[in-house]
Amino acid sequence: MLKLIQAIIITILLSTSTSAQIFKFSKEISFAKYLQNKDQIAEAEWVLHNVDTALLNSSEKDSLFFEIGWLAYNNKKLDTAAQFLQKVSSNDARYNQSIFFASYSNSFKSRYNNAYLILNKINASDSLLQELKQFELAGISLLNKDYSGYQKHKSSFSYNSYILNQEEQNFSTYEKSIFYRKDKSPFIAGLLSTILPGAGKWYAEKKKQAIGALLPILSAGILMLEAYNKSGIADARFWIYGTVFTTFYIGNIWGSAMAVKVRNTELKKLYEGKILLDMQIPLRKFFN
Amino acid sequence: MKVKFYLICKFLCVSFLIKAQQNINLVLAMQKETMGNYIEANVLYERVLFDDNNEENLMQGIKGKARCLKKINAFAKASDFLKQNINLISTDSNKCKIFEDLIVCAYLSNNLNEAISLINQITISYPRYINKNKLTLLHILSLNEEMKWQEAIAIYKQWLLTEKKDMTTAINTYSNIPKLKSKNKASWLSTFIPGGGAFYAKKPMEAIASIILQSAGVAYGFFCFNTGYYISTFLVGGGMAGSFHNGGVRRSEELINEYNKKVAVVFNENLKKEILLIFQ
Repeated sequence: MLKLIQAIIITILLSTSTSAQIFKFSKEISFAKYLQNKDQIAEAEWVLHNVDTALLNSSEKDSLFFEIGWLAYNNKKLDTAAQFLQKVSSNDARYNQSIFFASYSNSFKSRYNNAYLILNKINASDSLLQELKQFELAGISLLNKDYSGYQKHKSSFSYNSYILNQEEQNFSTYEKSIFYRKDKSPFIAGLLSTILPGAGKWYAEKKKQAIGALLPILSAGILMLEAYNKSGIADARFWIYGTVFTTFYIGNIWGSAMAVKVRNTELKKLYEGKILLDMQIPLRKFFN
Repeated sequence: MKVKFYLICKFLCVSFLIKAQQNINLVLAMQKETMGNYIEANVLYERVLFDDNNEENLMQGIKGKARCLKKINAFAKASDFLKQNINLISTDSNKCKIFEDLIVCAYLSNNLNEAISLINQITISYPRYINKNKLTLLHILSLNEEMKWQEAIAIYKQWLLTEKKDMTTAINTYSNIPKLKSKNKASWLSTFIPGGGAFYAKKPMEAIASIILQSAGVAYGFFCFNTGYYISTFLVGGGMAGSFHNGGVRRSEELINEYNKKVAVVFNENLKKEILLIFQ
């Protein structure tokens, strides 16, 4: 009897005293989430990145990769997010979420082929998930300017799902701008500015810049003409104002061509931003 | 057998009691802090806050992390951290200590209005526990940097009175309160007298440059007008004079801001040295 009591006491003490030393993965995850909730992001990252993966089983590893990836995603560290979310194995319950967001992170980083390949790994079982997958693939095709790919995935749109309806319709409007919009020509802008200073910038839809360019060129031109009328070509003022006029005039032609290039890039970025936003909204709705 | 049993029990009890009384993470955090590994120390201090209920340990955890953040000059972050965790502490004396730390962080992060408001709050909420000298010092320094010297001198005199110290020191210390210059006045001076605002801001070279540039514009305008270049008169002469005039007005306001700031910094630095000597 005494031996039994002794054995029980030792077991209790042993379990209590060693409880502090044993590494508990679930506790580490809770601790990281606690830090994240307190907005102590650097500390949360440190905790998760310092977990020894050798001590973890495969399901714990999946959890760790998901948590690191998700933390990075929420803090806009999309390279890290893509890297870790892709590591989550298909046995984990959050596999689909991980793959969708890993793909989205790659899309955001303009790695469209990677994003496409990652998302294609998903074997969507239910119809909504399947439509979501097709929607994301259509988005990647739009970003990649892949017309046939986009049409192929678009054919799966139902336009009646509560999480996708609005974004699917938006894609149809972007489609026209992405595939049928012709970029403005820097050459035409330059030519227009040669004929009338500032006209090239007006063509590039930079109307204030156009007026801003016209006024000093016009002023320098008038001053040059005044000097020429008063004293002819020999007057130093004619040469000074002439130099100012020529510099502004040529600079404006060059500037107009650049303004068109900037405008084309701005439009491209604008549509990329809209597409990426529309790709993210259904993901958030579906997985939250 | 009995001896063996007691020895085992003793060994296990010791590790159990150590765990219960002194949080191992706290000890490790302090070691890491001493070694300068602040991120690891921060994580360990957070672990204390995460899994300990003992108020003294929590207190050390909070103060430890705030200290680490202060050591890396992250005063605003330290201030946010203290605000976030103050509710973990229940006793008034400890809460008051956290508040004091919060005031120091607010002062060091140049959040002077917050520091002043916290000082007023703590004086009302925890009158029994406050470190009066430290708070008065911080209050005076914060008011000085906010350029509220009259309020600062009133608090300083009050403190000298309660401490039964010589009042003449306060009068001497604050005898040369700088007279700050008016931005509005500088702007009006520059509007009517070219370079007047810059002279007022004690920048004679800039004032002369402004006069020369504005005069050059006017002179060129006259020259062009006299020689029949009317368009040049308007566009070049008028344009130059007008632009330099408007620029001069705006620049004079800028110079007054710089002047006031410089004067206040110099005065406050001297004040700080003298006041710190008295409070030591």
